[in-house]
Amino acid sequence: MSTLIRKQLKEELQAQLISQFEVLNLEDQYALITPVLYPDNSHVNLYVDELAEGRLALTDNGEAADYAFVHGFSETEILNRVHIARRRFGLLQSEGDELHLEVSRDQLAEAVFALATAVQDVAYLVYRNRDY
Amino acid sequence: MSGLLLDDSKSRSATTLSISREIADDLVTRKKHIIQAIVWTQRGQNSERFRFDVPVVFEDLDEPLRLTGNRGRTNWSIVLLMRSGIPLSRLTIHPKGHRNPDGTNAGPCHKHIWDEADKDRWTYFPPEIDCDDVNEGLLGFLKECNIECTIPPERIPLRQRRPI
Repeated sequence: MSTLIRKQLKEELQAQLISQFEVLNLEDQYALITPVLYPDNSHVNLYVDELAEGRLALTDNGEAADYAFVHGFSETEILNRVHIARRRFGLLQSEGDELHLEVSRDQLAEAVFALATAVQDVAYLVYRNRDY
Repeated sequence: MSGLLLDDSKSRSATTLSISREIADDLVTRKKHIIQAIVWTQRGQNSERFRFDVPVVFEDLDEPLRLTGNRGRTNWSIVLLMRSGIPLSRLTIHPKGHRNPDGTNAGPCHKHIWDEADKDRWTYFPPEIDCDDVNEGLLGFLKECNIECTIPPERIPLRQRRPI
């Protein structure tokens, strides 16, 4: 593949990738609608808060854990999976079942993918329980 | 009826779970009861997240179900679950809506239905349900699933953020 086509491919991919995300302004957070999906093909939503010194806090507001809960999983099963996902994707360890991390602005894209796939990791408790 | 369903004596890790759309619809429409109170549990002090999980019994069938629900900062869901984990009916509210297998979108307020091919990926807009109020939404869902509560469900404060 020529250098020109590789460059075009990369530019096309970047442009299309950007269009797959949407930002919504909520009252006290920004919601980031991602192209990453739950087992039922609903979009994974992440939420962004601005911190001091230009840093950002990203969280799923507990939606991955809530998704597993309403599909019948126990708190213990969910928390175990949350802990595993936090370690795997380098998220913050904390009390509770929310998935979250804090980053500088230049780490935003990496953080979004880490958090979105961590959400999938927890939600896959449901996926693995079914004959999809 | 039970012969068509998964043997639930196996562990949760069973690899084959499925019932037909016809059976799922039949189970949703059959008369059912919730005997204990639906009480929302707050996830922590000052948390905006609430949950509940109660058993549901059929009037004429020996197949235990569960009704689960959550209310988060932005989303909320009510689910009628089989013992095997199959969601017979699920009401979900979240900002962006849901894209069906045919590309259509039922909007931010939608009900998931179950079928053997696409599982719970099909949704539709439920016009009879008040999606602006989780308490009224729960009552509407109960009515559509033909579930009668012996004790009226607890009501929780409304806190529904929407895009500006």
